[in-house]
Amino acid sequence: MTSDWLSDDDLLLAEIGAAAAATGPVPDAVITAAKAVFELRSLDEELAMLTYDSVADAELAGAVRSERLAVRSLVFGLGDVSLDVDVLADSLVGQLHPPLPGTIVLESPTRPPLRAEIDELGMFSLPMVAPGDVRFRVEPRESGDASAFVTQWTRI
Amino acid sequence: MTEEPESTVEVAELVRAAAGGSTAAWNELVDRFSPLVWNICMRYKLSAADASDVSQNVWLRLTERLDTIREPAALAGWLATTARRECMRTFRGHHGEVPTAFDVDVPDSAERTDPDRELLALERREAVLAALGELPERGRTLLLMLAGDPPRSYREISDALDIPIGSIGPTRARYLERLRRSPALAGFGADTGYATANGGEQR
Repeated sequence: MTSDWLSDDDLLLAEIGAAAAATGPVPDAVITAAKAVFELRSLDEELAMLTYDSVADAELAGAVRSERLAVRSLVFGLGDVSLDVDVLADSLVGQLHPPLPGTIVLESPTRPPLRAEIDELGMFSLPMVAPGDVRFRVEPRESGDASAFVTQWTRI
Repeated sequence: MTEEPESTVEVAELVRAAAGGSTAAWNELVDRFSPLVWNICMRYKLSAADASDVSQNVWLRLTERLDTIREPAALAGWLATTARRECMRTFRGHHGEVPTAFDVDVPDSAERTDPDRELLALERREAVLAALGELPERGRTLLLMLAGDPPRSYREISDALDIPIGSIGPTRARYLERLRRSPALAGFGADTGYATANGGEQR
């Protein structure tokens, strides 16, 4: 069954008008930002996917207000490697499994990257940054590029 | 009568070209589908700053997904699903709860009185915006000018798009027909189509 609004030219035009009016013009700055992010795409890099997000998973579980967690936990996975990150009020602390000493880099579309050491236990701590999109880049000290990876973009 | 030249580049080709590194193709994808993403942002009670952040996040994440999206319907569906999820998370961050359908904005007050009609109107508008993204720029511009309130005159449209007044009517009909055939609108009103396919989309 096809709806009248779809089969009738004038009604379909009216729907287009309603959709455009409900949306309003997309701000130029929003379009510019969307175009600019293309330069940030990772090329030929191993991408660790977000496999757990305490906020999203609480939503799926239908958690109510009182069950909100104070700490947001993120887990990124790539094969047998995982990167856990806890979003605290003043810092981002995390651990790389299995541990591999090196550098963790916090990247953002608008700010210079921040770097911190990943210690022998795989632990690291970065200063908290203003809310926005971030991704983590892991650069192990010893094994070079082979085990380097970058995470998905995630908004914190 | 002169047949107007028009781009026949399909969304799938743009996605492939962008995956291959074409900035021009990426920019065209943004031009085509940013209204769809923005429409969803506007439906949640987000500040302008939050809406901008959600939009940026959606497009950033698309850069990671270009290789995996193979058809235009999948692109629009992925953008809509990702935007919705990120809007919900943002809403939840501010309000501590999941928004209901009634927390979203509908400007037409007549539709507020009937929740089912309201939801249907939102779905229709989203599907129409997804379908518009499948048209070339000329087609989108023509239909949006004709659909404006008030609609632009044929004279204005003729000047803006550089087409004879006499061919506006047939061109209008042709683009509306293309719109109807788009995957986003195909089967709308039946059990299949954008809304259903969209609901099954996973990240």
